[in-house]
Amino acid sequence: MNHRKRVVGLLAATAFIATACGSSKSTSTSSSTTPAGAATTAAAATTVAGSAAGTAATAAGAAATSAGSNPDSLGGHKCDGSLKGKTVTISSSIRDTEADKLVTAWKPFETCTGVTIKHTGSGSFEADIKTAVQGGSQPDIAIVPQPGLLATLVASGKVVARDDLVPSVTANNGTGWLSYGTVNGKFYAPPLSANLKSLVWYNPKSFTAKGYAIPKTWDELLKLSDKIVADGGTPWCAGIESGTATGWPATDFLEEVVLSNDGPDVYDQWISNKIKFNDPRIVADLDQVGKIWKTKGYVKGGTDGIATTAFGTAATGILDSSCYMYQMANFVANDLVKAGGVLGPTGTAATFPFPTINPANKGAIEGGGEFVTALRDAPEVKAVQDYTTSADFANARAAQGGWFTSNNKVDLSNYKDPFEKTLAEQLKAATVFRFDASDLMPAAVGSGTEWKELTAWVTGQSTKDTLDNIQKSWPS
Amino acid sequence: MAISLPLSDSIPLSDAPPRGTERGPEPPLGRRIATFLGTRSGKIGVGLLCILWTIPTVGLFVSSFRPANKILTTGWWTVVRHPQFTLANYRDVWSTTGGTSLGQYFFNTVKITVPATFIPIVIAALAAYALSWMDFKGRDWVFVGVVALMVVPIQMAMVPLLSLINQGAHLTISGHTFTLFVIPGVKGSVVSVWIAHTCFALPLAIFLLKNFVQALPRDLIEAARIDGASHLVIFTRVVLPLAVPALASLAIFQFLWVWNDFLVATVFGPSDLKPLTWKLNDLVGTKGTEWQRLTAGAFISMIVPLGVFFSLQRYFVRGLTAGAVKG
Amino acid sequence: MVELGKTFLQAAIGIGAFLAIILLIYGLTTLLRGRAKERAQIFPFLGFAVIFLIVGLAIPAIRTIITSFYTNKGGTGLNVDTYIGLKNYRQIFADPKTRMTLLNNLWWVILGTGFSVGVGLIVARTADNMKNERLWKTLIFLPTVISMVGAGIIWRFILTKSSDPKHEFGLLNSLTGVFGAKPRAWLLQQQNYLPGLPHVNTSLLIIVFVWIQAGFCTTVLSAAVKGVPDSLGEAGRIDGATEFQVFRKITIPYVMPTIIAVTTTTIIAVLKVFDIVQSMTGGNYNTNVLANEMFDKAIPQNRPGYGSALAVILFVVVVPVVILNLRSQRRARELG
Repeated sequence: MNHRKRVVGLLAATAFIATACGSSKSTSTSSSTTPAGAATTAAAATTVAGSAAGTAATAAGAAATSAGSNPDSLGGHKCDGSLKGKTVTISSSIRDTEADKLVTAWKPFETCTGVTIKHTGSGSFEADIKTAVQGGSQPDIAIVPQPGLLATLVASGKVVARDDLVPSVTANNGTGWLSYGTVNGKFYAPPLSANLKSLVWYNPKSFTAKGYAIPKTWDELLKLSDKIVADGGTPWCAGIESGTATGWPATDFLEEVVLSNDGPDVYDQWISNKIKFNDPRIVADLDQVGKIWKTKGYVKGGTDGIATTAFGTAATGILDSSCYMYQMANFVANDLVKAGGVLGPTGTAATFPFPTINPANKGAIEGGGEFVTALRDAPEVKAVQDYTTSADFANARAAQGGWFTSNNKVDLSNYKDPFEKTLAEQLKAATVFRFDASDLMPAAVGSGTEWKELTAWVTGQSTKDTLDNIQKSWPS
Repeated sequence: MAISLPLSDSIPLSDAPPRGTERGPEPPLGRRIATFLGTRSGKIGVGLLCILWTIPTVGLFVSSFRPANKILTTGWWTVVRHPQFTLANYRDVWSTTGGTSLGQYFFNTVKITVPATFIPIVIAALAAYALSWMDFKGRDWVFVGVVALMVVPIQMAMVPLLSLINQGAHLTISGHTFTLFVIPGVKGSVVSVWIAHTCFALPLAIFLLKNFVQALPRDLIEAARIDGASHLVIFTRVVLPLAVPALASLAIFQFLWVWNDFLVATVFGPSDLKPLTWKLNDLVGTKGTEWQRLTAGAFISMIVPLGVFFSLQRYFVRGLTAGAVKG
Repeated sequence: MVELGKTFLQAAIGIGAFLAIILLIYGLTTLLRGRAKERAQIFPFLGFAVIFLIVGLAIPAIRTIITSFYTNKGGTGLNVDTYIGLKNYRQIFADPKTRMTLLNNLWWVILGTGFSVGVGLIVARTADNMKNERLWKTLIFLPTVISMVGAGIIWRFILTKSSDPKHEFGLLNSLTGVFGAKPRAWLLQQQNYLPGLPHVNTSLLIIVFVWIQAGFCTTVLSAAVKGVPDSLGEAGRIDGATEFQVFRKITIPYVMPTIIAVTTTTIIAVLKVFDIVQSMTGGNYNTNVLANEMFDKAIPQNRPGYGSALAVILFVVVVPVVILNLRSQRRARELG
């Protein structure tokens, strides 16, 4: 499950806050003016901060009123209006304010090429897209948050292969990201955005007030938890409620422990089920999660609280110090901001890297992303696909905040928020990066039994039964 | 009420003294309940039940006028002691729509709902007539088939139907594909939503209407036949007027189901014809965190169905006295 | 206003075109004579229903049955590709959770249907004699108007347990709190207070269903109750029958066909119920029911074969109910 989609709705909530800064913000971004195909060069995106010169991003903000402010080309496509009259439909799980920002970010491309982009975001995107593809009413482009789902769509035979993008994606995003968009040796879907999961949220103000130090290792983390309990506090918040997707936050926590404890090789074999779900190593890892979630007094509201609290609501506990730490991906920032949190090391909400369990795997991080998948073979569809994965688009989108990408050609100073900039830096610096395991497993497990069984585990089912049941459901 | 329903009120069932209480010392439970229901305290009991039924909705209604931070910290009933109201939730839902006004979605829903209520009911009424009053072989089997189809889960039927509407039906025999039929011009239009709602509504509608139409007095229809009336005349002049109460109640329920539908419209509707429920769901964000929007949104979507219910209610209550003809 | 006009115009065109087609076909049949005409006229009356039912439901149902014997190898593809015989069914019955799911479904049918029809009958019968009859019936009907999204949120306001005990805003916990009970996460309660009854959380979900469905039952039943000629009841009373005897011997038999119709409809609605379960517990905490499991498996979990097998089981469970009801309905009609 990619959890971005749950978030998008939450982002919606920040509408009132975010729109205020959305379009008026004129982080001037000079975009690529290089000829077609050259978008992969580092020179493609140079920033002229504060410059009033006509740029793609400002063209969007200013509704492209003045002629001549338009660039010559965007995302490798000439701005000659050659796609006038063509329409490209896009479906995604991105909704509300987030969707508005997306639309703003591709406005320059519409102006440039004349193409019309129609976007529909839906909270039930994963189910909808399967039905649509089977029923023959699929959109031209789907923004797919799970490589597992991409493989399913490819199996339907309707996804357009884009092997011609391999060099640029390799250069911009690296071979890891290339592999997530590859199915059976063919490349289909370049990444649109990224998120980071190996994070623990905390409240710097209350940590300072109590004199708590940021734990670097798992042992330090457990010791700190005990200390907080001894001080009369509650160390953790946790929440796995997410409607029909209830249980996914538990999969994230387990994945981080597997990655940090047993390393990337075990992690990869676990995804392909070469290492079984009920392998002693995975059993030990889930028990590590249990050490935090199931120890009495550790978690606000106890296990019942974990099961019934929405993951976004759970985060807000750190703001009023009703708890001190919360393991969750970067996107929960939106809930924190909405609840009055101030992001940053001097504010009331910040993150520290998921503590190292086994020193051999120090610096390994887990994350996720979204992939642009073409479902119709036409020049205008390919053009839009090219643009959404280019540095031009990423710069325009980054400038609006609440978003970051694995595209290393993006100028970091374009990130509106220092928080996202740190994330992008963290992603760049990671020695080992692994994609969310449940998103790569077959849906029957990764979006099915794993959620259900871990939810049952939280409310009392034994570790053994839980992992045995998940293993049994692995499709043959 | 007493005025509009002279038939049922003319005989004062209610004002009669409680009966049965003085009979045997230990009447069976069923009898005591039934007796109780006829008494004044029975009526009070039912009244209380009705009020109990309304409490959840009242809670929602009160909450929709409360500030977001209060909704999630104090119970709605505390407004009695600490009244604090705001229209912010409604304003929020109405204005935060990302470019398109909520009104547009309102119209979309109307566009979907009106024909998707009317068409299946007409088809079902015609079928109910045929299954009750036209003689042909296998009539009972058709009816059994209809009832059996009530069971088919919509989720399983959606994809094949969608595929048929969009791509037509093809038959592949030894490598050659023959096109059986295609439905032109329907793909991606509101018509496909109408078709889907019609298909899914028909079994229940036929089932309920057939029960009613079949119970109409045989003499009336025979008499019309002897007078040489055609099927169309019998249907429109005799059956339809008598079936008004059944049609009205069915229309209300079909209307409600379509109005509140989310699934069918999402799957079959084109992207620029999403209904109100879709938009509200979109505004809601992730469940559990945006309750204040939900409360207001739920009420906005209730206004029209409530109006329809009130306007049709009088209609089918009055029509029911006509239904007494069947005795 | 222009928009509103356009909307209604479009709707009217759709309806008009549909009526025109029916009349046109009927018109053509009148050109025929004798038996041929009699036969041909079946088409405009029944033809549309049959076509829609075959295309929209019968063909998909047959496809579902076929799909239930297949699987998508590796769980990747959208469509099934490998014949596996009865393996899906065997897997379903080997899963220990299936027993719980079937048991829950049984409780749903018994309690959900029983209470919906019971409340419907009681309110239909009693409110008939009450002042402000329409008001009372409207109150019962109100929940039917609310969409599932709304109903879900309403019941969360009732069943929720606040994470901060000082700020309890769940109605049920506040009420039990008056009696000194500790707040509970109600939808997580898997015990039963009376042995043999369903779990507390499943009972609560059934209450939500009854809350929604009773309006339908009341409305349809009150139509039937009003159809009972008052002369019949009065005659009985003059003969010295008690109110109960009038109810049992006259009212009930008279409205029996309607009761059976409403019961059948409600049983089928109960068996197809999935949105209540999905939105309130997601089928977790042993509250799962067949329809929810079917949806979960078929679409989000991408196991169309397994989901189809569950749909077939659902179908098989309902068919006897339908047949039984059809039979007793016929008998009731013959008696009435």
